[in-house]
Amino acid sequence: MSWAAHDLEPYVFQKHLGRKIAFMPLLAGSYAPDLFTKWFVYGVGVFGFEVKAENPARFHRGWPGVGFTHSLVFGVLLSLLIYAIWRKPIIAYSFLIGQWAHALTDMGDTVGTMLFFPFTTHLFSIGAWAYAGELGRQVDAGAYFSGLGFVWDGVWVVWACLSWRVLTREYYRREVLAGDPFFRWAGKTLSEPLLLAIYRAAFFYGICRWIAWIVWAHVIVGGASFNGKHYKFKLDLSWGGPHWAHALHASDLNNGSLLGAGCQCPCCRAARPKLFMYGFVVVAVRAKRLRQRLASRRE
Amino acid sequence: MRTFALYLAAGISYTALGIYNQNYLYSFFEGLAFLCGFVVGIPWVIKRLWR
Repeated sequence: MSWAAHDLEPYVFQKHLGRKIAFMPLLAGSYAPDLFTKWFVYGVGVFGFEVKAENPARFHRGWPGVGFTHSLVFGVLLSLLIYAIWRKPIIAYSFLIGQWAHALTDMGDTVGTMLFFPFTTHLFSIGAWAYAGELGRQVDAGAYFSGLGFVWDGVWVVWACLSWRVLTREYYRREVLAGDPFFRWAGKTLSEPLLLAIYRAAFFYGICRWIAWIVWAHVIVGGASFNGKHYKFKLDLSWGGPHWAHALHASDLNNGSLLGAGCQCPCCRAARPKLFMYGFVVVAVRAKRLRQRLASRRE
Repeated sequence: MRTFALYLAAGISYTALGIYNQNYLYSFFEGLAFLCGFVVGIPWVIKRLWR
């Protein structure tokens, strides 16, 4: 899971795609996989009773559960539904881009996502940071902001800040209003300052949240308890860390039958850091050679 | 510049509020409501009172 990336990715896409994309459906797509399910992962108190998934990780990402919300096909189906309702391709494909970005981003943790559900319940995972959703919100936050997850979010924070021009009023008038039917429709009744605040809200929320959780985890509390056990939020930027939190892995879900040490699918093999690095070097060398070949052909 | 200062003040306040009570950091809609209230609602109320 990611704590700020889903808020900030839409602004980076907006910067690169301009009026070819509609911002609000893109943001809705980016939030869609967790929108109605995340509360049940951590649980909520209702009239003195705690309502919570029995197996939070399986509920969130696995099957049986709502892990299908993180699949590519789910995005396609929702986009088709959106197209059937509004008959505007830009709304449908903007939503699809947002939902796919969420599903692909969440591959970064140790549990991963069922990208190709319903064809397979295989969980595709890179395993860069620990999935600790079953340890409750606070320990999960502490774990996320003590491992590579917070670095990953940091990349999006920097990238979104570098795209700051998309937040200006001029840009909003020129590109966002031109591309997004929602803002044109809402502009008939709501004032421009309010619409601008709505447009900038996810950026505001993502940055504030990222800073607040880091400060809370590493400056204010330094640790939290869950089920009587105390966890110290020690920074651990190793692959799959922090290792002080018992991270769930894809092999722990979906009956443990699919993704594990023995799985030889390209994604699982790439999940091992060394192979991932080797693969990256091979791809970079191949790409360079291809570019050279194309350049020599042009000459 | 005035708008930027307003957003910056909203950001600092929301971050401080989130650190104080993490319940305010859980949902995007809380952030949206806070921002709209801070940069649109409060200036509107102040303007009304000023007149």
